[in-house]
Amino acid sequence: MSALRFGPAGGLPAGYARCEAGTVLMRGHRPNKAPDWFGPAVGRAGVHRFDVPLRTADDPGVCYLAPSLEGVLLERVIRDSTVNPLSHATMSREHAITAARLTRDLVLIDLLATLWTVHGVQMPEVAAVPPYGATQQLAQQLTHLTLPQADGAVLWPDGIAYGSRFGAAHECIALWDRAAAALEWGETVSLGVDRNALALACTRLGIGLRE
Amino acid sequence: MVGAVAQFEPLVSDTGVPRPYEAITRISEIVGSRLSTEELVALLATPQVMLRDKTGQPMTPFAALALGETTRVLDLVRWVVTPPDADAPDVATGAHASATA
Repeated sequence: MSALRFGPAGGLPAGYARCEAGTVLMRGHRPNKAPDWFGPAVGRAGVHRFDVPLRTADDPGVCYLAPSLEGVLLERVIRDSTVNPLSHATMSREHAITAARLTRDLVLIDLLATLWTVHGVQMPEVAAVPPYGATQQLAQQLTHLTLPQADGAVLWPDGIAYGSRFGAAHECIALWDRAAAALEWGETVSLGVDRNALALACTRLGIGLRE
Repeated sequence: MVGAVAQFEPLVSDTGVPRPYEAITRISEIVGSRLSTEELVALLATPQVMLRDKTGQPMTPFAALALGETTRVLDLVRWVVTPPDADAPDVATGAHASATA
């Protein structure tokens, strides 16, 4: 089930998607790392897909989130490896997860349904393997995109909605730090703590889970 | 923990001593405890789209190492074990209250 309402279905023009207040997003991270990190640091080069190429004080940082455990597994744990089955012990030791509840609606740039018809890019460009020069350039452009409102004001989108490179049906969100206050962070737990949920997510992804 | 993975240089004579590729040591250092030995072997033994050969076919990292593509393999391994929070502040520092910079 989608966590996003696209275009007119979300009360927005085509090209944008709404993620409603109350939605829970998940952030995978190292157990000893802060979940609410919007990287890269100012002055550092971008590393990940929708980081800006070189972050200045005027550029937003990015926090990568997903509304599903599958999204977190694909983007954080599995990535370019083809490990199957996954190790519960490794996930418990090396990965943590923190949920964040949205305190307001997010307006996101839609790179899922209208990436070509509105934004002029196609899946191979958005889902290219690293290095992420092309998507980082795109992200840089998108940070300047504004959405005019009926009252003459402009709305600055909160980030980018995209599909995982490893399973495009799994929605992911690259959230800019202008929306940091929209996240109400919960407790950090080991990724392996809810073994049933993990096993279910692995089953849905068609991979095994071992000790 | 990684400690049981090796790949050896081809022997140049039948009296030679097998020598492991130094890159495997570097890979083990990069991986640390983030992958089990089995997971690392699976990573190194599976064709990877980030490691295409001259014909465009994905190579396994083991095959790429044998062709001298050490840098590309190290980049791949570093990428796989370095998710987006690699530069994030440690929780213990309490710095994440302003973790946007």
